[in-house]
Amino acid sequence: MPNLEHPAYPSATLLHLESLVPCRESQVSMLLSIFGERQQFSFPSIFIYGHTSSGKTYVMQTLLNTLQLPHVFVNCVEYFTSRLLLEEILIQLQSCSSETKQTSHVPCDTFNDFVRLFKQAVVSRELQDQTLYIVLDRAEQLREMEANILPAFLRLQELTDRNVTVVLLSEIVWELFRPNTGCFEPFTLYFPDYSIGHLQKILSQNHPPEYSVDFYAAYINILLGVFYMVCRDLKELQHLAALNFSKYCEPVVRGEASERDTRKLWKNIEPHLKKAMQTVYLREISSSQWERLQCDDREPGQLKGLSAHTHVELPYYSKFLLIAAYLASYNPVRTDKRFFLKHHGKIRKTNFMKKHEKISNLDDEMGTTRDGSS
Amino acid sequence: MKNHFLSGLLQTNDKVALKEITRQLHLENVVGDKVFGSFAENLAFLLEALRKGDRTSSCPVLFILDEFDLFVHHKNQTLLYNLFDISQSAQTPVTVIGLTCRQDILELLEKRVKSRFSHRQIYLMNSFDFKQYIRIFKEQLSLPAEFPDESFAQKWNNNVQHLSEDKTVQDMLQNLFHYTKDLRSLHLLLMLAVSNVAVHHPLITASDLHEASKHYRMDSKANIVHGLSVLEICLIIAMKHLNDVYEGEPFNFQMVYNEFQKFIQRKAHCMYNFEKPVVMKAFEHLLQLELVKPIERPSVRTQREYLLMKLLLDNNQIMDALQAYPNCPTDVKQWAASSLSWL
Amino acid sequence: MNTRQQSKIIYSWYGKPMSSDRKLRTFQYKGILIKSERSRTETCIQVGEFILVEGENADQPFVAQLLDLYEDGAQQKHAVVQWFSHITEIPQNKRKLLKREVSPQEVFFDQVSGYDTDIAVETIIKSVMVIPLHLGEELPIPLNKEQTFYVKQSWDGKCFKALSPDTFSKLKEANKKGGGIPYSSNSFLPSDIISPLKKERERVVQSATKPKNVELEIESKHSASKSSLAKERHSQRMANGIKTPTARKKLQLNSPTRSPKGRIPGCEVLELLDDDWDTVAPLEPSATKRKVKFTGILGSPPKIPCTNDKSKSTFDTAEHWKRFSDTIRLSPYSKVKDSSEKAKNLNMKDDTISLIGHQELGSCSPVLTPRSRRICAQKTSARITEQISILNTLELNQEEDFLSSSDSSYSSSSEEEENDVLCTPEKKTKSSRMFSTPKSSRKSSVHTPAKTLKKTPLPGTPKTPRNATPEIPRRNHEALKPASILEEARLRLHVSAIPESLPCREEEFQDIYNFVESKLIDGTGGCMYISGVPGTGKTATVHEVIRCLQQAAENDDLPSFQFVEINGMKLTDPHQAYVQILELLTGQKVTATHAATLLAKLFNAPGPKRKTTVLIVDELDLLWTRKQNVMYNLFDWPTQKHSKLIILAIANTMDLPERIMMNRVASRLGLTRMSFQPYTYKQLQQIISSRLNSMKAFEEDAIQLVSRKVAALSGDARRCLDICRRATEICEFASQNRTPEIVRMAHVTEAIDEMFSSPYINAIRNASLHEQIFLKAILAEFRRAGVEEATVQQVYRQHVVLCRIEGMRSPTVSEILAICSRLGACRLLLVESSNKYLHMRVRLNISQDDVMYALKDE
Repeated sequence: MPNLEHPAYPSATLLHLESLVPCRESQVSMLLSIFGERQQFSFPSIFIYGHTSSGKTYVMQTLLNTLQLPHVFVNCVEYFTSRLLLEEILIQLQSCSSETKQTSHVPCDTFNDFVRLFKQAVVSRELQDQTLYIVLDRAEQLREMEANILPAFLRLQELTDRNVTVVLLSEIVWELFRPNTGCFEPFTLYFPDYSIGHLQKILSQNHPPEYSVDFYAAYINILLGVFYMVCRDLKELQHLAALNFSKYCEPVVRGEASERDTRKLWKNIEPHLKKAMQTVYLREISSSQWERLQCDDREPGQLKGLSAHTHVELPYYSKFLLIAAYLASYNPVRTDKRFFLKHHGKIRKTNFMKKHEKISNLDDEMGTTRDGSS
Repeated sequence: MKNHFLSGLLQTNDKVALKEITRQLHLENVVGDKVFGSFAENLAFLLEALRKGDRTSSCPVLFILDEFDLFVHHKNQTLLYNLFDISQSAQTPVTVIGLTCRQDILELLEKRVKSRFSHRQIYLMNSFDFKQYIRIFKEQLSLPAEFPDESFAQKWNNNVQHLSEDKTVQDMLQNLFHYTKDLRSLHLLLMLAVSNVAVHHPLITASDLHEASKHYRMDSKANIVHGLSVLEICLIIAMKHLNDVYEGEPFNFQMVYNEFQKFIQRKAHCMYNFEKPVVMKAFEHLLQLELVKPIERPSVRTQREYLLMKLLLDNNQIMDALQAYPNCPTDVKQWAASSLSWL
Repeated sequence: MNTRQQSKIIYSWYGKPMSSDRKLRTFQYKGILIKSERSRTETCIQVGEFILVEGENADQPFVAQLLDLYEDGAQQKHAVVQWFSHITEIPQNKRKLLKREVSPQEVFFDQVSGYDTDIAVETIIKSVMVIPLHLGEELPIPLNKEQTFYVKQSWDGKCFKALSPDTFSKLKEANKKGGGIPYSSNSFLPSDIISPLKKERERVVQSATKPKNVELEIESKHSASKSSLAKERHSQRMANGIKTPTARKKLQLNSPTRSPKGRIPGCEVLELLDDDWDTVAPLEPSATKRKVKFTGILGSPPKIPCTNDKSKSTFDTAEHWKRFSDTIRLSPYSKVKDSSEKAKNLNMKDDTISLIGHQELGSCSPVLTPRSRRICAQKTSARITEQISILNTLELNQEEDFLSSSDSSYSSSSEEEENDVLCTPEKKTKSSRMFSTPKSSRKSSVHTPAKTLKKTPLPGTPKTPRNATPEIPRRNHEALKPASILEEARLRLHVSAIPESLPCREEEFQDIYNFVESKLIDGTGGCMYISGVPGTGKTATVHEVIRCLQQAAENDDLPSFQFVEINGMKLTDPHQAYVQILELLTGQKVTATHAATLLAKLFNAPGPKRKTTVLIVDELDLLWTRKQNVMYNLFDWPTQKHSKLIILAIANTMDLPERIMMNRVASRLGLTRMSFQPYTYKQLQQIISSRLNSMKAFEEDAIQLVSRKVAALSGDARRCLDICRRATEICEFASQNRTPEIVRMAHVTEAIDEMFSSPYINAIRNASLHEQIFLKAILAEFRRAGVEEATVQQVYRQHVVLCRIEGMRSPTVSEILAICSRLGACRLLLVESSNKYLHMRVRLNISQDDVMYALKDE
C-alpha cells in the first residue's frame, strides 16, 4: 500500500497518522496531495461522501489534528439552523486563534455578517498564510437551511477571498444536494466501504490481551462469515463482536477445548450467532439482557426472536408513559392536548369515537412496532 | 470611481443589501462597520445621498450585482427599482452591472423596473471548438515565462506540449469537452492531476490525467450501492422488480418485504430468513441513504411500513452495481437478472 | 402637567341670539364667553374685537378681527373673521416689497382671497388689541406687548397698500369698543406683574437649556404670553388626539420649521436688532417679557462696557442707548430660548451662533448704520416704489445681493442663509438645518437643485449619528465635456437629460394643470388618478406641471402652495408614507402611527389660513395594504372640508381602483382620472428629434425605424432612447478610426437586434455535445409520451439510446444530472428540486421548434 509521504510534513507524523487510519491510506494520501502544503490554496470546496462508518469524520479529524492544520469542525445536526451554525463556526475560529483568549459570543444571523466577521477573525489570527479548513459534518442538513447557505459555503473562498477550504461530509450523493439555481461544483471524493479484508484487519486490532491474536482473528473470521451478509457497518460489527466473544471463548474457559480446535468452538458459538443474527441493528435489549438470554438457552428451538424476551414487566405508570410516547410518535402535535389532558374542551362525538378506537387498535399493535417510537 | 460588490448569496434581502451598500460607500451614518438606523431610515438616507450628487460634482458609483437573479426575488424589487431609477435620472452617476446565468432574467423584472432597465445585455457563451479547448488546456498548464527556474519551466512546458499532442489525453479531453464546455470543470480536473506532482514525481503525466478523469467519470450512486450489504441489495432488487411490475408506481415497505419473502421461499439457498424488524432496519438504512424516497413526507396517519416510496435508482445502475459487487451470492444475481418469468 | 393639559376650555354664547336666519337656521350672537377651568378666568369677546386664532403650529397664532358669531343648524359655533397677516406669513420673496424693517408687533390688514374667513369658535384663543397707525409714525412704547399689535398697511397677496381711510377709522373705533371691555383682557394680566427677581431666576433657569425644565417653564411662566397659551391648547389637542405626549415629543411638536423662531438665523438677529434700534418693539414676545424684567435690573449692566462706548459713539441719547444695550443683552438669551424650544440637540450650536451674533453687535452696529439709514431714506419713497415694485424686483435683487455680501463678511452661516434667500420659498427647513450642522450644510447646499431641497431629511434623527449628512464622496477627476457630436448626442439622449419641454404630452399637461390650478384657486381639495404603462412620461409630466405652478405662484398668478412627493417604490412599507409626508410637510420625524394621527389632525381640523398642499403619490399600487387603510386615509383627507389637499396619484394600471381597491377607497378616489396612452411612433420620433434638437447625429429614417419598432412593441420612451443611445455607441465604435459619421440604419438595426434577440438559440448552439443530445432526448421523450413533461429517468433512457446511435459512450447518471442541472440553471429547462434525483420532472422553457431549429443546422 502507498506509504504516506509529503514534503510539507515530517515523516514521523505521517507514520503516526498512517498507524491511526488503517485501510484509509489511499484516501489520506489523496487528501494530502489535494491539500498540498500549508499555505497552498486548495479546492474551494470538497465534498466527501461514503457509507455510514466508512471513516469520513474520523479520517478528517485525525488528519487535521495530527498535522495541526487550522480547522473548524462543525456537525450540522448539532447546529441545525444557519444562525447557530455560523455563530458556532465563528466561535471556534476565535477559540483556535491564538491571541484572542476570551471567546466573546458574536451575534450573526445573516451570511453577509458572517463573511464580514469571518474576514476579521482570519485577519486577526497569525495564519493568513495557512489554509483554513471548515469541515461541515452531516452536510445533508444544509439543505434544510436557507437556500443561500449551501451555495455560499461552496464558494466561500471567493466570497471572502481568504485561503479557506470548505469540506462537506455526508452519506448522500452530491446529486441530491445540487441547488436549482446552479452553483459552484465542489470536488467530490468517495470514501469506499471497507472490504471484508479491511473489516477483518480492523476488527482484529482490538483483541483482548488475555487471548492470542490469531485466536481472536479466527473468532472475527467466524463472526464476519456469519454477519457479513447482513451488515457491513463497522460499528455494528464491533458491537456484535464484543457481545458474543465471551460466549465464544466459554469452552476455552471451561477447558473443554483449546484455542486451536476451531470446529468445537464453532459448534459452540453457532446457535448463539444465529440468534444474534435476528437482532442485528435492533438494540432491543441491553447487553446484560443478552447475557441472561445466552445463559438460559435450555429449552430448544425458541427461534421466534428476541421480541418475546423483551416483554419485560414494566411498572404500572411507566406502561402508560410508554403508550403515551407511542401515541405521541404516531399522532400530530396538535392532538397531544386531546389525548393527554383530562379536560381538553368538548370535542364532537364522532371523531372522539374515531380517536378512541384508533388508540385502541394502536395499542394492540404496540408489541410489534415498538421500535417505531424509539 | 467607487465600486460596490454585492452578491445575491450574501445580501439576501434589501435590508441587508442597503446596509452593505452604505457600508461600502462609507456614508456618514456608518460607524466602524455598524450601520445605524432602521431599514426605512437607511433607504431614505441612501436615496438622499445619491440624489444630492450630480454628474459634474460627485464621483460615479459602479454597482456589481452578482447572482442578479436572486436580487430579483427581493420584496417589490425595491433595490433594483431605485438603482435603475437613479441611473436613469440626473443624480449621482451610477452604473449597475448584473451578473447571472439565467437567460430568462428579463421576464423576472417587474414591468416598471424593466422599463427603467437599459436593455443592454451581454451574453458570454463559451463558443470555442475543440482546438481552442486544447489551446486553453495548454495555456492553463504551462508555466509563465517569468518563472524563476527557466530550465524546469522549459521541461515542464515541453511536457505539457507533449501531453496536448498525446492521443489518449486528447480523447480524455474530448470526452470532457463533449460532456461540458465550462472551464471550471477543466480546472478541477487539471488541479486534481497537478496535485499529484511532487519532488519525486516532478512532471505531470498522462496517467495522472486519466486517474483524474476516471475520478470524475464514476457514478456516485453506483458507489453507494456498492457499499450495501447483501440484505439491502436484495431489498433493492425487490424494489426493482416491483418497479418493473407496476411500471414505476410507488411501493411501500410491506410490498417490498413480501417480494423479498417470495424470493427467500422460492430460490434462496444461502440467504437466511430474517426477522421483519431486521429487514425494516435495513430498509430504513436505505431510506437514510436516500436510495429510497418517500413521495409524501412521513405523515402522521400512515405507519412507517405503509409509507409510499420511490426507488431513486435506475435499472442499469443496479445491474452495473451488481456486476461490480464483491462476492455477491449467485442466486441473488440470478434473481436480479431474472425477468418476471418466475412469478 | 397632564392634568393641566386636560383642563377644558368652555365656549358659551354671550347673551341672547340677536338675529336668527330662518332659512339657514343660524343664530347670530354678539359675543362669546371663553371660560378656562385652570386659570379660573372667564373672558368675553364681542363682535368687532381683535382676537388670536390658533394656527397649525402653536408658536404663532394668527391675528384676526371678529366680524360675526353664529351657530349653525348643527349647533356648531362659528365665527367670521377678518384676517391680519403677521410678517412671517408673508412669503420671503414678497417681504422685500415693503422697504422697511417690520417689527414682530406689526401686522398687515389681510385682503388675500385664498383664506376662508369662517372658522370654528374653538380656535379662538383670546382677545388682543390692534392699533391702526399711519405709515410715517413710530410705534409707541406699548404697556403689554402680548396684547397689542399695530397695523399700518394692508396686504393683498401681491403688494402692500396703505390702509384706506374707512378701514382705518373702522379699526380705530373697533379698538375703542373692544379695548373698552375692561376685564376681558386684564383677566390675563396678573401673571405679568411678577417681581423682577422671580423673572430673573426664571431666565437663568431658561438659559440653562434642559429640555424638561424649559418645558415646565413654557407651561408655568408664559401663561400670559400668547405663544405659550396657544401652545397649551395645542398640546391639549395633542393630548386628546394622542395618549399623553412626553415632554420631548411635545417640544418636537411645537417646533415646526415654519415658526418664526426656527427661522431667525444669525443675520436676521442683526436685522431685528437694528430694527429695534429704530422701532422700540422688541423682537420676540418672549423677549419682550425679558425687556420688562431688564428695566427692573437696568441699574447694573455688567457685561456691556465694550458695547456701550461704541454705541455711545453711534447714539447720543441715553434712552437710545438703553434700548440698544437691552437688545444686545437680549439676543443671546432669546436665541438660547429658541434653541431650547426647538427640537433636541441643536441648542449648543445655536448657542455659539447666537454668541457670534452677540459679539459682532459691537463691531457691526456702526457698519449697519449706513444701511439702516439708507433704509430710512427708502422708507420715505416707499409709496412710489410700491407702485412700481413689481417692475424693479430685479434691481432689488441686486441690492439684496449687496446686503448678502455685506452680511456674509460677518458670519459664515449667514452667508448660506442669504444666498438661498434668493432661490425658493422652501429654504426655511434648510436654513434652520444649517444651524444644526453648519459644516455639512455648506457641502450639501452647493449643487442642490432647488426642487429637491425640501426632501432633505433633518439630521440628528435619534438613530443616525448626529451630523450624518447623506452625501456621496466628490469625484476627483472632472467630468469630461462631450468631445464629438455623437457623444453630445448620447448625452442628450440619456433618459436623465432634462428636456426643455415635454413634447406630445401637451393636452395631458393642460388637463392636469387646469385641475390643480382650479383646486388651488378655490382653495379646496381633490384628487386625480393618473395611469399609463411605464415610460409614457406620467411622472415627468406631473413634475412639469408642478414646476409651472410653482413658477406661477412665485409671480403671484396663483396662491402659493406646498408641494410634497412620495413614491411607493421608495418606501420600505406602506405606512412609511405617513412618516415621509409629515416630514416633508413639517420636517418632524416621528413613528408611522404618530405621523398618521398628526396628519389626520392637520387635514381634518378646520385649520384656518393653511397653504394648499399638493401631494404626488407615485407608484400608488405599492401603498396597498390588506386593510387598505393607507390608501383610504390618503383619499379621505382631500374630501374633508378643511383639508386643502390636492392629490395626484400615479400608477401603471388603468383599472387599479377597480382591481385592488375596496369600494370605500375607490369611491373616495373619485372619477377624475387620466390615462397616458403609449406613444405612437410619430410622437416617439418627435421626442427623439426634440432631444437632439437640430443636431445632425441621426439619419431621419433611422429615427423613424427606431420609433416604429418601439411603438409596435411597447411605446416606451425610455426604451426608445436606450436604443438610440446604443446605436450611437455602435456608430462611434465603428467610426473610431475613420472620421466620425452619423448614425445610419445599419447601426440602429444592430442595436435593435442586440436588444430584442432572444439568447436561447445562441445558448443552445454553444452548449456542449451531451447537453445538446440531452435536449434531443427530451424532444424524443415528449414525442413518445405526447406530454410536454418528462422525468429525468425517461429522458436518460432516451439519451442512452441516442448515444448508442451516435456510437459514443453514454454518460453516467451523475453526469446526466449534472447536465440537467446546468441546463436548468440557465433556464433552458425548468426542473424540479434536485433531491428527487431521477424522478424530477423536466420541462422545456422554450418552444420545441426553437430547440429543433437551434439543433438542426450543424
